[in-house]
Amino acid sequence: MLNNEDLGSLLRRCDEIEESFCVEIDAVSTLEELVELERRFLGKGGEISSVSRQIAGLESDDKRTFGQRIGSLRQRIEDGVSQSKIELEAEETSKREEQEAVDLTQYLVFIDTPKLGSLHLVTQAKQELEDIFVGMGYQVAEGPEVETEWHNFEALNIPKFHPARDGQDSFFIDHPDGDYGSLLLRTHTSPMQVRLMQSGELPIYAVIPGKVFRRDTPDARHTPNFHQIEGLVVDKGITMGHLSGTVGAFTKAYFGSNIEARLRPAYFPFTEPSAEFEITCTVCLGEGCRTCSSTGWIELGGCGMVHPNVFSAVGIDPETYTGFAFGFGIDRLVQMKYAISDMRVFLDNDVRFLSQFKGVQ
Amino acid sequence: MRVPLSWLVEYLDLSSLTPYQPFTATFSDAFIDEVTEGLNELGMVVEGVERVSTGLDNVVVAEVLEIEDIEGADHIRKVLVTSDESEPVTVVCGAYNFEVGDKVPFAKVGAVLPGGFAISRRKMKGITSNGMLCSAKEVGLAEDSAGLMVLPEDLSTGALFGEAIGIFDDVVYDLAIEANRPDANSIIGVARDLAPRLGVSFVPPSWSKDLRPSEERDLLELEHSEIVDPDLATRATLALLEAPLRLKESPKIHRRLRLAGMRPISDVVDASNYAMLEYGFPSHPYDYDKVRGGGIRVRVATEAEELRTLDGSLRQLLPSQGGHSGDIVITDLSDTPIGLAGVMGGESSEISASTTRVLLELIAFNRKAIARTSKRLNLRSEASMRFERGVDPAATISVLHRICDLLSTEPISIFDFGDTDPHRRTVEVRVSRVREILGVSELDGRAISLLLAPIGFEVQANGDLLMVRVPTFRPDCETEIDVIEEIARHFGYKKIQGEVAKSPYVGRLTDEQKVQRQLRLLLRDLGIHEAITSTLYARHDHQEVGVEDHPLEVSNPLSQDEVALRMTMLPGHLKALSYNLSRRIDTFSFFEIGRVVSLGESLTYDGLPNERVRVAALVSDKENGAERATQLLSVLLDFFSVDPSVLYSQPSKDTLSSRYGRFPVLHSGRRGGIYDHNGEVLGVVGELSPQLTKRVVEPLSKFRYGWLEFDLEAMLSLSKRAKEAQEISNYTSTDLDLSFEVPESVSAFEVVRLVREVAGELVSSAQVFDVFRSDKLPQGTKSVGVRLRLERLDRPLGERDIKEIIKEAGAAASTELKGTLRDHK
Repeated sequence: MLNNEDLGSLLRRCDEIEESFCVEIDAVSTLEELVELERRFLGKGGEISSVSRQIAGLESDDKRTFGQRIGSLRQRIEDGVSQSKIELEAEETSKREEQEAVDLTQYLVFIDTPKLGSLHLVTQAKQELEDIFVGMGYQVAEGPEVETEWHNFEALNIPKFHPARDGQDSFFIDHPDGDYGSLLLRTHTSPMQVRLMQSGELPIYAVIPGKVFRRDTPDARHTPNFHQIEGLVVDKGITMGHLSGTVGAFTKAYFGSNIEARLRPAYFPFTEPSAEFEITCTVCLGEGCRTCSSTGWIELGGCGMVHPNVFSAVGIDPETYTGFAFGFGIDRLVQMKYAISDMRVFLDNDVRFLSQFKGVQ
Repeated sequence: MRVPLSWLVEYLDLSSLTPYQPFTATFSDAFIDEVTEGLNELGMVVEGVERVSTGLDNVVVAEVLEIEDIEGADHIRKVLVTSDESEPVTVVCGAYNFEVGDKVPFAKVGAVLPGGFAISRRKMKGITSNGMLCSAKEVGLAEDSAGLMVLPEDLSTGALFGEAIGIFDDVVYDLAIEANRPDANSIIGVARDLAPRLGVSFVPPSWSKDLRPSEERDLLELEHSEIVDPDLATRATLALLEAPLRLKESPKIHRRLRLAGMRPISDVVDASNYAMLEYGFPSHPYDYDKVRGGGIRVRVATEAEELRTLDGSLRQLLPSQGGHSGDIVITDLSDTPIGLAGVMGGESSEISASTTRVLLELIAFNRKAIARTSKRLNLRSEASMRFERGVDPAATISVLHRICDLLSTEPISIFDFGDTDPHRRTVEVRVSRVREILGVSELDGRAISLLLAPIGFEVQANGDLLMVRVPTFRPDCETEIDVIEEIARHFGYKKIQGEVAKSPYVGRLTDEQKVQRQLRLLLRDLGIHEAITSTLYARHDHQEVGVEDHPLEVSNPLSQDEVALRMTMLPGHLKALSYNLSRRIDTFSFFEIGRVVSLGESLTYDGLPNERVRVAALVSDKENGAERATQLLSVLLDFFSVDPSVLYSQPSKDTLSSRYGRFPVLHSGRRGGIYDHNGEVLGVVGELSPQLTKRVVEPLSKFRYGWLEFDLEAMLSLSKRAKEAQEISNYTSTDLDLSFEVPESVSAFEVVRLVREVAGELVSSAQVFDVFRSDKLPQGTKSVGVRLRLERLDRPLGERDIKEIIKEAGAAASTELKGTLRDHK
């Protein structure tokens, strides 16, 4: 057994190592230097391991003392290294962040930053209306734009030469007449009512949105194609009270609880009794203004109890079932809501117009 | 229908309403509003309320005392008049048609005449004029007049001029009368309907004298008149009146005609028009001596007949043909047409100043007959409008009476024939049905009877069943439901208690509706704006986008630019593109979900043409529209869960039509077709053809535009949506890049498909990361780099798996693609 050094000199050696570590760790400025320093003191064949090897030549009591000293020295160095590592890493991170700094506002305004597109105002209104009726337990039905004269007129109690055909000048299609007469571009969404009723599934609670066509020269309030939505309810025990209540409920749901609806007598061949429905003027809330010609009310659409002749045409017994229908123009509604002065803007698809109404409305 | 309130109240007993003083005071605002509300709630919608002042506040009746010439003046004279002031005043006047003692309208200083002309004191030739003596034109009673208006002697000097001749400040209601209310196209009809709403009685018109035709004259010819075809008219009342005929109270009549929107024409015509407005029954005057044979006939026009109408046009009349009834005409007894019945009179028998006997025609024509003729000739008049809606056949004698009264005459002969005692229809109405339809339980037989009686419906109750006798002026009321509407109107729509109808269903959108909504949001979120384009285009608009098939066409277009129904959405988007480009907007994209239609049977509805829902998008790019459009397609295929193998690059244009309709022909080098399992095209993608780019785009922008259009239903049918969750691997995936050298004719997509087949189940994705051409590659070849992401569910991927794939890919590339796998040889 060799006894090259006594305990005292070994402990002194340990103190020297500690001192030299303390000096060197302060000089470390990069993570690479720290790794090198760590290797020199803690690595294989490093300072600690070479001095620890001397333990073999000590007495057992001294071994314990020396062992403890080695332990504390190792701890001291390890703490120093990890402390330094944290500091160096933090320094490095902040340096990198400084280098990578950018002006974020530029990304908001770059020419190729992705932009949100937009849904057409008519689509937005249509979907909102559909949602209200879906919430009331209605289905949404859509039908063809090219219709037969029978579905568009005859089945709806509008025979040839009926005065009501005057107001609905139609675009007829150059096509041989079929079983249901000539073809035409539907002048209202009502032919789909006929198809729904013909399908024989009762009761019916449905709304029908869609594009319709009138042979009108475009002006500020008319375009040759526009959109309507209409509702149809056919069930046992349906009364005009239901019509009035339902129109009122829908009006509040769409326009707000401060908007009332009222019915006044009108004439449509496919309903009787028929009514126009008016709502509280949404501009002045009933006070009277230019929009409502000082009446406090604006006309929204037509409605009424399904005419018994319509039921007979589609094979529903009018003594068993009654029903109501109502309808109005979506484009007109949008025109009112957004104060659009001229309807013809819908014909142009001007990007500057379309892109105004996107995202949350 | 324009209704002057002063006229309306003649038929309302307002004595119960206080304070109300007819004719002497202006109507109170409260009364005017009450009438407005009542009319609206009865469905006679008030579209305007006009307050019309007479403009005659300072105009009085004056008597001429002296007339003196003025020295040095040729065209004016000095006139001394007395009116409501203590002293006579001097007026300078330029008219010469009056004498001392005449009564004339005198506008005092301070008067503002109807034309807005303010009267002040003026000096002419040294004489001070203290006001103005007026012509009929100056007081607003004629369009034109010569000289002063000389008044009847019995007017008292100094009286207010307006009051003296029976005209007052008035209120005119402009009413929109519905097609089912023929009765309301008359003052009397409006009054009758309104009376119960105001809580007053309706006062039917009455006259001082009975009609008693003179029996001395023998005018048997008139009785040869006939309705040849009983389908054309039900009753005719003809009367002969002897000229001269003078309208009594003409200032009042003229003013009311004007307020109602008609022009005074002549005494006889004015009386006829006034009675028409009052009763809703039009009449027509003929110069009796120009009616050959002394009688008239009502019949349908025959072959090659013509007629010169009152407006001077020579009109070819249409005979009946192919089941369609021809024009309805009035002929004389020589069978020559002398008028278009109910629509417009003929020139040959027009009354004039020299007419000595007037034949007045009051005929209840058939509604449809008049509607056909007036529609065919596009001639709408106050008269034809009333006949089309239906006149009261019982009214002829009353109207004749009224006209005679207005003209202060009696007929020398009357011939009344046809159905002279029109039947009053009886409609059975069940009280229970009234309640069922209206939802009003408090209505019983008595209450219903009280609502109907004031508007002329007589009710006989028998338990639940009411026998309702409908007045002859309501030809529209034919069935129970028609009467129920009348009950509802007079009960008051706003008194019907509202209740929301409760649907037994849970409302929901269909799957296709949900997909459409999601698709719209997706496209919006990709930065695309939704457009809605027209359905109608010019004939050449389809040809321009390469669709040569015949479109469905409108037979009565508004213009030649709106004839053809769209078979593809592209023409509309080209118009929108042009519109925006010409406003220097070129970076934008549009989408639309809409319907197109082509010849051929509908796949959904019997007897309709092939109408389909299409999705379309127009996208802009700096250099390659096809790239942008196809990238969009890629996202959409992902959205629909449709395999990309549905796309074929550069299809022949013969394959671009199918049961799903026609698709536009795009740039032949930059287009693709989307095909279903049967090889039927359901969509196209690519760049606009160079011709279109050249014409529409290049003059305004350097951009290129891509187009994508597909059939929504067909696309959905290809969808392979995952029904259940797929298991995912617990092991790390490996990427493998393989580059192939392949002939130009091999598409990138084929390379990917080959690699996918080779790697089989191990592939989780395969994408092209690079396509390049270079001098270092053999001529006619290109390099396609494919990045595979590989993983196994059962264990980590090993070297062997990868080597296997590389080996098989190399082999397959050479056998199937005539190419080689690079770098891994």
